[in-house]
Amino acid sequence: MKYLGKKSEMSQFLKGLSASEPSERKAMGQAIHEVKSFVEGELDRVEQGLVEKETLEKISKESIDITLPGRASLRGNLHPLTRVESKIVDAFRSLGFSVAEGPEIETDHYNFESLNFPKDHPARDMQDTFFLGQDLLLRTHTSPVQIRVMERTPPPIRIVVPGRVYRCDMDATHSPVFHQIEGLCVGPDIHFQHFKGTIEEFLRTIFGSSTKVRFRPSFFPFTEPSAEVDIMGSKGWMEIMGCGMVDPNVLMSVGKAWTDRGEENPYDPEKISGFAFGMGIERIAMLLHGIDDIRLLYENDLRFLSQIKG
Amino acid sequence: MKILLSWVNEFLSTPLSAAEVEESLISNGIEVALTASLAQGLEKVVVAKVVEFAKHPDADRLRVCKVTDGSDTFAIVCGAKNFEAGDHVALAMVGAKLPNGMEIKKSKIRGVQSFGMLCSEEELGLKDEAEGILILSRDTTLGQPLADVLDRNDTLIELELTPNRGDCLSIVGVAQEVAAHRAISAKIPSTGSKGGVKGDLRIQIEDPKDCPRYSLQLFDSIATGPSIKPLTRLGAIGLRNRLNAIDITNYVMWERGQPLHVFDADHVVGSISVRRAKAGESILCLDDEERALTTEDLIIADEKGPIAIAGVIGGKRASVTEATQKILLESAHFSPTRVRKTSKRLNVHTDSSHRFERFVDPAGVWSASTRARELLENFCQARHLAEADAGTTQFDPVKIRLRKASVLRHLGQEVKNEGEYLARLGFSVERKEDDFFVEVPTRRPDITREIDLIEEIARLHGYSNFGSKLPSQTGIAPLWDSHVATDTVKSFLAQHGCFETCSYSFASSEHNALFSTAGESPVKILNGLTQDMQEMRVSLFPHLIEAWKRNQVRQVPLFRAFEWAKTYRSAPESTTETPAIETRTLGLLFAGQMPKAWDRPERPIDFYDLKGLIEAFSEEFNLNFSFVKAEVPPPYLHPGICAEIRFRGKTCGVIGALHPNLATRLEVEAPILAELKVDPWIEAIGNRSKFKPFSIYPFSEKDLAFVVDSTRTSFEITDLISSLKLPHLASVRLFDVYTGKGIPKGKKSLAYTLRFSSQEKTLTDEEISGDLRRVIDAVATRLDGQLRS
Repeated sequence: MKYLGKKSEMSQFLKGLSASEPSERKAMGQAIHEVKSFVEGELDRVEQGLVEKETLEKISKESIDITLPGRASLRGNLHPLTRVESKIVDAFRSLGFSVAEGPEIETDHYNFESLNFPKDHPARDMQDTFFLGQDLLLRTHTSPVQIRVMERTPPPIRIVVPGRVYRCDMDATHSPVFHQIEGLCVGPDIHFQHFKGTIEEFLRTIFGSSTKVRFRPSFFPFTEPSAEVDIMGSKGWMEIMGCGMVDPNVLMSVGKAWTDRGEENPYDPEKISGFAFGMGIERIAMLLHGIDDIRLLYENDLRFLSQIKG
Repeated sequence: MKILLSWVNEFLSTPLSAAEVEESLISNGIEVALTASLAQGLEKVVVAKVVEFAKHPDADRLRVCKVTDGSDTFAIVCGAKNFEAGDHVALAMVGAKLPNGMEIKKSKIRGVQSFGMLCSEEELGLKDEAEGILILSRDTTLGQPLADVLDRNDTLIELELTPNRGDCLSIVGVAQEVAAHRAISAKIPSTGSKGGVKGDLRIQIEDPKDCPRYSLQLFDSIATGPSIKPLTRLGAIGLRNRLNAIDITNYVMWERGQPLHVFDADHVVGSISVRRAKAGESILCLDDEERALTTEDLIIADEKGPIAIAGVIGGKRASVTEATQKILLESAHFSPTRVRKTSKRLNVHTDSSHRFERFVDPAGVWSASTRARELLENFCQARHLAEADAGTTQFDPVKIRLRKASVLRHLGQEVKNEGEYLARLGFSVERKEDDFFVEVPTRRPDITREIDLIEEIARLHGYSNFGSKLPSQTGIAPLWDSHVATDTVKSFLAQHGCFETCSYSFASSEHNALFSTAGESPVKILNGLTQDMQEMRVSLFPHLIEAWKRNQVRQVPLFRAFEWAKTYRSAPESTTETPAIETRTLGLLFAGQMPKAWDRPERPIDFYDLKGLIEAFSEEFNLNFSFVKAEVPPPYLHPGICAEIRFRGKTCGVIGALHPNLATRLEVEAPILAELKVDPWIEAIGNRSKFKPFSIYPFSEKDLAFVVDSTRTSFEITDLISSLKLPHLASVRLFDVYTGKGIPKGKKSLAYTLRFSSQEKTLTDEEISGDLRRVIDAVATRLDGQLRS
């Protein structure tokens, strides 16, 4: 300030210039300016240095050990069965199927009778049943939901039904509680080729586009023709699901519910047909994730729960 | 069902390999569980002769034998004593790998070299147990492979039959299927024959509905000795070898599918009747069990009483023994339902009941009996004395009209040779323009409708020979439904540090009692497999606690888990619409320690951790849950650490710490638990939010701390403040709870940040101070809370 400010000696000196000879004025002015800007530049440099030093000190003081672990945010995980169920449902959603649900505690009528399992027929031995009462049981499959939906909704129908089912059986490959996904597609022109096409499309979505699929004739009381579906795995063909064309007896049973209510029956088996399929979610989860014992899925061991991703 | 390749080939015009048979069966819809060579494991087992033997120098129980296979001699150390020099025996040579898995190596047994093993029937996989080694006939050729000697050059095929194919519970039925698939001819024995009347056999059928046909043949001079060679097949398929006559009935049952029964005719008193059992009647069965009968059971009786339960099991009194001289051979048709009911009720499942339940061709009754007669005469020197064939003997085929258009409608494509496929299955087919008139033999009761024929056509055409296409799209599935909502909620929880668990829907009665609320009645399971399966669970807590306990044992320090599943209660009135009450439930459990890190110490996870998660959840999905101190805390929760969770004013769940007594009882470090009924709020998830304009002016915040009685809750203060309805108050947030220095005993300090804002302007201190005054006054007068300065 003292030397370079407005009231400084240098400014005074500059002001004094006006009094000097014009011929000298220019050269002197130039010299004075040179001095002034030199001094100013030097001062700036010193100041800059001071700031820089301060910053460096600050930075050095604030430096951290970036190798310390980050502050953990707690991680959780979805159960493998949820993951697989979502995948399956999503695959069918994209084929126009929507999700339906139904009760797990069922009547004999919905679980067996209307699905063409006559009373006292050996077909009932295919599904070991937990009984809750005279007519009450734990559903052995998700198929009763087919009936419940068709009794209320006219065709066309496209649904998938995920849910828990129960069989009186327990070992490394059988769980008394397991999850199934049922599918139903009913309409005026649905035939065997549609059923093959839909299931092939689905299996290739889940297991990869080059998956080899095989359909074998089989038997389920509520479908005809019936089939088991295998996919080719590393150890040969593996059974993956059961399916078939909806048996006309099932459509007739559903139609009866409509006529009993006094409504027009939209399920004439001469006009309406469809296909249905069902698969165990556990089995698919075990295949996809290489799980060898079904019980792992129900033990809730954190080492298991935290492991299965994707 | 187990079958043998050689046996199937007996009925085919061209013998097939095991692989060909397997392929045909699978393609036709019969699952093959196993294909195994019977000679497997016998590859290096040959006939050898014991030349001489001596006691082992160092072991009393062992013999050192010199055996020969005709060209070489071997030193063998053997532990058995049931042989003599000169006996022919089965020698497993070094390198053999026996059916029971044993590998034969050169070995030293107590200092003596042994170059193989003399085998017992058990070691050869011929019997489940055996004493001593197998002694062969001295007619056998030394060095001959044992598989040849024992006729083991065959393949065992095990089938898994579906219950609709009773006809394939026989070699003949399987042969027919294979022949139909390969389009080769099968030598199918004809059925439909009838028995004559010979001798004085009287049969009275009192229940023709359940027994339309009953036949008997009487034989004497029966050689009932041990089983004979053609019947060794029975051993290979796992049917015990018993007496000749019984083996023959089994043989014919396996071959033809018709169960037969034999009685000791000398123990049958008077004429035979087929009737319902009388109340109070009982029968001592072949397995030495006395069984009480009911009028629902069909029995075979003589004049003294029951001698067999029809189609299920024979009685002891007239059973065939080694002493039997005369036999009565029964061949009959019993109704599937009748046999099944009795077999289920008595819990007696036999090869016979298995077949009758699945329908046995009534037309084949007599031809099976004739086949048994042939075997009895050939192998047991039996003399035929009398026969009778009672009841209906005429069974008409089912006639079905098959429309070509139906085939196209169901299968989606033309199949050219429908008629030929059906003919291959033994159906008679007549074509009239676009219709086929088909007659189905009585052995196929599963074929009664047009659709059944269409399935047969599809099966024989081969499922792989049909095209595949997607049905035309009828619409797009809804983008949002409760399943998507469920997935969204689960994902939120997983992303916020929770592990999803999955457990059985069952509970023990004890656990249900501990975790149910008064007035609820659980759903009972009549045939649960274990104590833990007595009822359907009323709460998700027991399994969550169990999971925590299990993980705690496995040194898991922190467990944050949830399960999304149903809980179950009996419906006051069970209807077909609602058989029981099923409640979708979300259960949460937090337990253990928040781990220590370099910047913070370990601390126990507590109520506020779980509450915080549920608050975040509530905020994420706009649910606006509120937490209210439970007036009547559930008995399983800590009465002082427990709250109700409310949605739109109604309780939808609870949160709290497990009751300390219960924690002790369940031997677990007390977790924090929460359970929410899903149905009240799941539909609200995914509700579309509407934009609310926010203020463009800065807000101002004021902190207020109140000293109140320590029993007061924070909610009382916040609720009071919100009840003042201050127009500019945007939020109230608790930021400190303090007791200690400066706060009188029995009091606590609660400090809040009040945020004020306006849509119209920046609020001045003067504008806010009035509101603050009202808050301070209200807390002072209504809650006796003093502003802390």
